Amino acid sequence: MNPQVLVVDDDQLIRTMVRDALSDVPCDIHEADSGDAALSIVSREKPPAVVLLDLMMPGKSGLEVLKRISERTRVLVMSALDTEALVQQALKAGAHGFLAKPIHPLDVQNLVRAALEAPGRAGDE
Amino acid sequence: MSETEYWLADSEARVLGPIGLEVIRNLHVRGKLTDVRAVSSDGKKFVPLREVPELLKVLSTPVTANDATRAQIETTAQIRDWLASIHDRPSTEVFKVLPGSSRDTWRAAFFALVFRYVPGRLPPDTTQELRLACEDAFLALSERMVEVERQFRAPASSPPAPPPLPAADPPPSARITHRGQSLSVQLSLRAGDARPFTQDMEHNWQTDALFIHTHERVVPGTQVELVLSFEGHVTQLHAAGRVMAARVGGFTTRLLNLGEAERAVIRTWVARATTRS
Repeated sequence: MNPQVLVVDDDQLIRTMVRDALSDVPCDIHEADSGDAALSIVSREKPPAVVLLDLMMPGKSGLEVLKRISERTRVLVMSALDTEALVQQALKAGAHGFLAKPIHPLDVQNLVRAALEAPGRAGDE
Repeated sequence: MSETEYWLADSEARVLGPIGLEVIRNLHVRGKLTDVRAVSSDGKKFVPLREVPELLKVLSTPVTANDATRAQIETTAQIRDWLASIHDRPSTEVFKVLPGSSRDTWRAAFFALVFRYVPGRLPPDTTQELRLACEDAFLALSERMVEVERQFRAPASSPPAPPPLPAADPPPSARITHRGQSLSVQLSLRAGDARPFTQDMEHNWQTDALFIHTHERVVPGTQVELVLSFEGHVTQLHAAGRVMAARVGGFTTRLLNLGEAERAVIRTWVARATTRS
């Protein structure tokens, strides 16, 4: 069974780009358009192995979602707000990695592959 | 007392937060916050920006070229401080990986950490100082990863290397030794010299190939064991290769077993040399 990857972004275009970028990666991709939807999916008994998470979304912000899910899954933050200070804050909050927007498909592939191959969290099993 | 944190909402009601005033100021001077319409101090109740004077003051301050440059100077200093802080620390601490972790875990940690320093991903307006700091961070992490990869590859005990045979007419920086049917090449690169990676227009670092200067005759297809030394760096790069084409003055070899970390070292070396030239 393929590992699960969740893409959380309120922008449909970004979700589609990520899905396309991961077309060669053996994983099942799910989408969420808000932080609340992401929390609902990650709180299931079997959370996704990797979550790609936007920082700015309507409703719950990405940082709030990150703090709540980083213990259960491996989170890769995606944002155009890629200043060193905010990157450090995201990493301290439990992010596994940071993808600066505009995203590059190869970056997405490499980071997700690496995150999927790294053992250690509940979502990996 | 902890710093007050805020949530910011833009015209599409997208929310960022909680973040402190310093992070907000840093984002502002980098031109990353141009559409803040409402703010909150608890993430629930949002009010117009004008009702929170301390934020209004920060976000209404005109961003000048000096501000943007200053922000990059601060970022440069942060990266330099971080580089200094990890200098004597073991890679387990730098990558936040437990001793005895698998190669996959190391790779995942490396990728997660190194991405924001990739020289080719930096914005065009990046200052030279910040660019160099990112390259140094990229190189430092890549070197550590090369060392990690080598430890996973290394056999339990290595046979002693045979004494080098005198080369017929080696170029100053390359020592070439015949070892049975293969060649052993030791190449020392001086700082700023990336010619072996860039000289061949068709086969170069972008295709995992490099050019070795020599007057020795070599046969295409010959196996090559290569040791590359980079001036100013303790890490050597060990690679297996195969001669692709022999030409006047040398031969081109393809490196066969490069990992991403080794490629990163080469890429950064070429980038730095290109920057200097």
